[in-house]
Amino acid sequence: MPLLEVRDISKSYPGVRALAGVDLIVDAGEVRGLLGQNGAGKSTLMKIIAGAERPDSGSMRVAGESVPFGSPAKAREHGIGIVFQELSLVPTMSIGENVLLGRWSSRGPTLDVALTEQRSRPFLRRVGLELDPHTRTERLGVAERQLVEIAKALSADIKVLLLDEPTSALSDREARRLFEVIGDLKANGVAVIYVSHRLPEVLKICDRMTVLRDGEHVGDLEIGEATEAELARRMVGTAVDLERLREHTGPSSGEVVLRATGLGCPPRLQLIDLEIRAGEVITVFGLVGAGRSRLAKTLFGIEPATVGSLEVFGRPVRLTSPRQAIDAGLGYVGEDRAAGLVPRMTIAQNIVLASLRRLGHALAFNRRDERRLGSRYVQELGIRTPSVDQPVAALSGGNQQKVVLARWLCSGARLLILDDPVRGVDVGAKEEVFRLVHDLAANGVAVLYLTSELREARALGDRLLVMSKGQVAAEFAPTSSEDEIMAAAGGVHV
Amino acid sequence: MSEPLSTGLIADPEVVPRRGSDALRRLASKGGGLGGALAILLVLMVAFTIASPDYLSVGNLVNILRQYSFILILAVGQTLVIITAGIDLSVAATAALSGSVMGVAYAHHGLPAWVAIGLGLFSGFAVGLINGIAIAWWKVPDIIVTLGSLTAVRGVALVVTDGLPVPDFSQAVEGRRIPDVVATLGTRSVAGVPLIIVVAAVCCLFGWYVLNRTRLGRSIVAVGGNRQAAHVSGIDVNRTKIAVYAISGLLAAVAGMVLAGRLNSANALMASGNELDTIAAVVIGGTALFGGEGRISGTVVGVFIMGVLANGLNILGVSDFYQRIVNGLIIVLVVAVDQWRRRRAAR
Repeated sequence: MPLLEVRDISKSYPGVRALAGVDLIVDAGEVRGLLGQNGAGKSTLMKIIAGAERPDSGSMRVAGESVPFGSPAKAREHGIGIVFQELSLVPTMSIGENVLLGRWSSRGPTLDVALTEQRSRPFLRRVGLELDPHTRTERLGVAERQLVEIAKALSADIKVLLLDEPTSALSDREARRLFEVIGDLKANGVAVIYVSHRLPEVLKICDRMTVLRDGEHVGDLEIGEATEAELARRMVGTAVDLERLREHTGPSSGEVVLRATGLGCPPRLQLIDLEIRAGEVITVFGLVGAGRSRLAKTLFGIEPATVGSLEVFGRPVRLTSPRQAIDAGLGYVGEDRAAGLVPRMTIAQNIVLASLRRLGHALAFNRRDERRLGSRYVQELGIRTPSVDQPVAALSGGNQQKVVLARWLCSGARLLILDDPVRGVDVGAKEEVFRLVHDLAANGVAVLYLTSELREARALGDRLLVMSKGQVAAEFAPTSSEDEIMAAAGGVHV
Repeated sequence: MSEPLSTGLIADPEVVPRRGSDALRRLASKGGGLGGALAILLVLMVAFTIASPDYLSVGNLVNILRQYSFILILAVGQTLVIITAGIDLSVAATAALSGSVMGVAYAHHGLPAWVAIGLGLFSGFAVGLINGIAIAWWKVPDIIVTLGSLTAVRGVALVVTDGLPVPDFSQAVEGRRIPDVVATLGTRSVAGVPLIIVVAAVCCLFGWYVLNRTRLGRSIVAVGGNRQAAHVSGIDVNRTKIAVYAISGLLAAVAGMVLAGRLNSANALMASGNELDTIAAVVIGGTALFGGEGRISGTVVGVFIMGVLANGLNILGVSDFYQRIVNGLIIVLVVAVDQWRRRRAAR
């Protein structure tokens, strides 16, 4: 009998299908890798198993016993422990109090902090954390906090341990210590579910792999049959043939739309030189933490540059707020879609949000124009909705992203800064967004497309810049090999 | 930037929306949003009518409106503030200050009526402006700023009036009380309609217009709905916040005037505690306490619910002690029902 049986889990958020009929069946003493791209549904599945989210349908059993959904307490009772990606420690409490959070020792009605901290010691030792349990948690670094989280999960009598990207903040030495802990748990018959992006790591420690893609279960692989290439192929899928998306036209001869010289805000963003011409798509590739988003925000005036100079259409400008950037002809789609939309406003209202000055007089807002423009862009971008008066929150992720794009077409932007615009968007909508980028460029719009997906960066860009450690490390033609580009980005090629 | 850009994906982008059916759907969804509060209002009115046949007379309803006009004017400003995800605890104190400034300027200093009224309005506007600046520029949380000004503004009003009711006959210019125009608005009726109700209605229309027909109104909803999205769309979040508190201060000043008119006097401590009534009315009216959604019509219904409840319980002879208990429970109950409805809708 398998230890953990999760069957037919489906979960939708307004406008987004996070999981569709996913099964996860894990034996005692097994380490299972759970893989997938951003937005594939891994974290949602983890949260459902841990009781933090309630699925729309499905069932779960631990050691043959049915476990109700939606209750973290019930999940813990059945021996499910989780280490979340977002840390869930109370910074003002001591390490020991955090490890035994909610299960503190007491003498009568009085909390016995010293005893609590004493009791936490073996768990801390088990994860190799040699710190006084009396230390306040806020004084720890990210890696140490991660280990405290794991100690906290171990402190309960667990049968199943869920680890969501546990090594993302750990050094190699700390990661090795974690792998030892996992080996130890495995030997004791605990089932470990291990979520990670890092394929080499997954192949090293996992017995079996489950791959999710866009909320669907696309297969389980045994350790023997899995290779990095095979896993990557399953994670990405073959639905989007990026290679044929765009014909590269070579260097653009259009007017220079933006020229940045030594622009930056050290130390977070080093000095950047950049030139973008009308009709050109420049992709900026960088791994997490390379400074991509920082560059996008600096160019758009959200985090104004402290040094360097900027010209837009040959005119020197200083952009210290999005308003100024918009007036200069820029548009911006941030990496966090939710941060770009006003969910309860209608589609039309969201589309015209950056163009309010054009809609009649300040004291006589023209609502007919608002709806007319809204309808126009809903048609042009193929946003699937029965009416422009729907709240934008009711749309799917891909259609929401099109609303954000429509906003900048509506404002008449001549340079679009797109920061990872297809993150968490389903495959079909991805392709539409790529096509739109292409069409915009063909109409003379300049596009700066920032992404952490190498395939996108190569397929879409006329030129490809690589960022690393807050600066532009290299420039490539899109035909350069993936290995070369990856090396420049300071990453290991998957 | 001039014209909107076309992607050239479709030939004729001019699509005329089907106005009729959409308008109907909008109306239906709006009615749905107001539904909870309206239903409670109806239930209350039916219940009171059954309990006391005198209840449902035109005279009594007009009376309720007259008594709650003051609260309604304050609540209009409060609605706008709460839609930006803020809160203004200083509205009642500001009203007292404005009424006092006007009264002292007119009765004690013998200034012309219009100057006194101007000073009163300006004092309210200034309080709102200072609130807004402290919130937007100095980044002090809304609730702290207006909690501070709630206390400080009462202090200023006490200084202005020496802590005495205005007019104080040892200081007043012979024969002066409150400017005639203010007293008229506060007490007189035209064709059976008390003018104070007309003033409140004008303030509601003003609030509705700002919210639904101006660029500022769109900015208010956007800032409350998602501050970050508003910012990256080029909306000046700080200016929107300052504007909305200034409007709230100005409306509080208007409310202070009509209250002074109704009482034919002003004092620094009048309307104490009414700021909480305005918040209750706004929330009962379906405005989201965390911003981004709200309607003036909802606030009107919210104020009316509070008025109907107090009036009905009075007619039934329920003591003020019990009324307080009922009022408190109603606020929590209405919002609980609203939350439950939203959760169900989200599923």
